[in-house]
Amino acid sequence: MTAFIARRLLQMIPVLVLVLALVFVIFRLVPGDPAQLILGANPDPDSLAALRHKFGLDQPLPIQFLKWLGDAVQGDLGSSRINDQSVVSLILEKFPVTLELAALAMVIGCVIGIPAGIISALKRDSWVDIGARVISLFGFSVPNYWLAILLVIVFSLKLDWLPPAGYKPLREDPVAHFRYLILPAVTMGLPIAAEQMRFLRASMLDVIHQDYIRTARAKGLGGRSVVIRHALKNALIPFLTITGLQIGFLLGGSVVVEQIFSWPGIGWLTYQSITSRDYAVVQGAVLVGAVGFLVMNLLVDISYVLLDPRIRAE
Amino acid sequence: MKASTARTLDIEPKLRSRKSTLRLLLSRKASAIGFVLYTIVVLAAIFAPVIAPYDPIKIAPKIILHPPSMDHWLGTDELGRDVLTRIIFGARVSIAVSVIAITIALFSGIILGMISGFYGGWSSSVIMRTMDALAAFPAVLLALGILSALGPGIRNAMIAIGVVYIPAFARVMRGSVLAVKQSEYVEAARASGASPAYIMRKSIFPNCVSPLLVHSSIGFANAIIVEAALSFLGLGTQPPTASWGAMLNDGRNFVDQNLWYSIAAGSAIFITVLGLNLLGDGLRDVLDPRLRST
Repeated sequence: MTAFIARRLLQMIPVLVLVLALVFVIFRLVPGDPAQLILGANPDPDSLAALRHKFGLDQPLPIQFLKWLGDAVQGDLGSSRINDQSVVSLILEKFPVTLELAALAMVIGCVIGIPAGIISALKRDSWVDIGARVISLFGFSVPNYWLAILLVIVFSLKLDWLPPAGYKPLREDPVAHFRYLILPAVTMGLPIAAEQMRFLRASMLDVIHQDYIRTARAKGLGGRSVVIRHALKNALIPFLTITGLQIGFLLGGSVVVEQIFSWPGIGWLTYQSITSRDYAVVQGAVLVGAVGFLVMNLLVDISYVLLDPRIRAE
Repeated sequence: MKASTARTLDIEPKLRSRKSTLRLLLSRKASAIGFVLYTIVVLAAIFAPVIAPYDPIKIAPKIILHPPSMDHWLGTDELGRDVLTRIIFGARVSIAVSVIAITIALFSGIILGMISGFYGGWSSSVIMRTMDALAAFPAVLLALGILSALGPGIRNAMIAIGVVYIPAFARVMRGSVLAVKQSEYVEAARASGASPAYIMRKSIFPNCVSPLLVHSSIGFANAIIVEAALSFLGLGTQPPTASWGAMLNDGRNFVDQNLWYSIAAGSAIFITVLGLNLLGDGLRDVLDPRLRST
C-alpha cells in the first residue's frame, strides 16, 4: 500500500513539472515582459534594463524557468502587481470562499444524483427512469452560466426570494451569507447531479447483471440488502472517479459562476486579474486549478486500491 | 499488389458502413432529434444572410430594448438590433469556432496519438506525459489563461480551445492505435513490406475513425460551451460581431425590458449542445458497441 502510494507520487512528479512548464510557457506568450508592463508604454531604456536584470529577464529562458520552478516549488509564485500582495497569500485568502461553494455544490449534486442514479437503474425503462434520464440529459447540456441566469431571473428578479449576487462573510451575518450562497451552489450542483446520475445508473446496470448479484438473490437476501451491500458497493468504484474529478474541477473555482454571482473565490480572483492584466495572479490561479485536479486524481487512485481488493493484490 | 489484402479488408466495410451508420442513427429517436437540432443550427449559420430578417450590426436608436412584437419576434437589444437576427448570425460564430478549434485538436491529437501508439517507447512517454499535464487544467481555466496571454479575440479563442482539447483526441487515438496495431491485417501489411507511413495511413488510421468521430461530436459541444463562456466574459468574440455568449451576458442586464434577449441566447447554446450530445450518444451506440451506454 505504502509502496503503491510512493510509486504513484513519484509518477506525479514529471507531470507536475510539465504542468509548471506549460504555465510558464503560456505566460511567456504575453506581449512585452513584466518589466515593460510595470514601466508602461514608453519606458526609459536604462530603468527597463535595470528592472529586467532585477527580475532575471536578461537570462536565457531555460535558466529563467529553472529559477521560477525553484521558487514555485518553495511556494513563491511572485506577487500581484496591483497591490504587491504575494500570489500565494492571495490564493489562500480566496480558497476557503471557493471551498465552501464547492462543498455545498457537491452536497447538492450527491443528494440528487446518487438516489436518482440508483432508482433509475433499478426501475430501468420505467417512466421514473425515462424522466430522470431526460432531466439528466438536460442538466448535462445546460451551460452553467445560462442556468445561473435562469435561476437569477426566477428566484431573484421574479419571485424575489434570494439576492441575485453578492457576498457577506459568515461572521458578519450568517443568514445573509447562506442566502447569497444558495444560488451559486445550486447552479454548480445541478450539472454535477446530472453527471453523477448518468454514471451511477450505468455502473449499477453493469453490476446488477453480474453473477454475484444473482448468487446473493438466490441465497434469499432481500432486495434492499442486495442493492446496498452488494450492488451499490461495487458500482461506487467507477463512480468515485467521476466524483473525484468533479471535486478537482470545483476546487479550481468556476470563473463564470463566481463572476455572475460576485462570489469572491478563486474563479472571481482569476477574472479580476485577467481584466487588470495581473499575470502573476492568473498564472497562480491556473496552476492551482491543475494541481487540485492532479491531487484529486491521486486520491481517486488511492481510494481505488483501498476499496478494491483485486487491485490491491496486483 | 503489395498489401492489397490489407486495403480491401479496410475499405470495403468502411464504404458499406457509412450509409448504414446514418440510417441506424436516424432510426433512433434520440439521435434523430439530435441530428435535426444540429442540422437546423448549421443551416442557420450557412444561410444567415438569407434567412435573417434584419441587419445584425446596424444600430437603430429608436427601437432600443423593445419586447417581442410582430416585427421583432424576440424583441431588440440595447442598440436596437433585432435579437432573432443576431441569434441567427451568432450560430456562425459558434459553428466556426467549434469546427476550427476541434479541427486543430483533432489533427494534433491524431498525429501525436499515432506517433505515441505506433512507435511507443521514449517518444510515447514524452508525448503522453505532456498530454497528462495539459489535461490536468480545467478547460475554461486553461482557455482563459491562454487567451489572457494571447489577447482577446475570436481567432485566439479558436487556438485556445483547440489546444485545450488536444489531449482528449491524442488519448483516444493512441488507444485505438494500440488496439489496431495487434491485428492480423497490420501484421500482414508489415510482413508484405509496407512502410510504416503506409501502414499508419492505410491500415491503422481507417480503423481509428469511429472513436474519433464519437469524440468529435462531444468535442463540438464542449467547444461551443467554452467559446460562449469566453465571449460571456468578454474575452472571446468581440463586438459588434454577434455571439451567443456575449448576448447572454449583455441580455442579463436588461431582463426587465426584454426578458427574451438573454433567454434566447442561452436557449440557442443549450439547443445546439443538446443536439450534439444526443448525436454523440447515438454515434457511440452505433459505431462502438463496446462503449454502448446502457
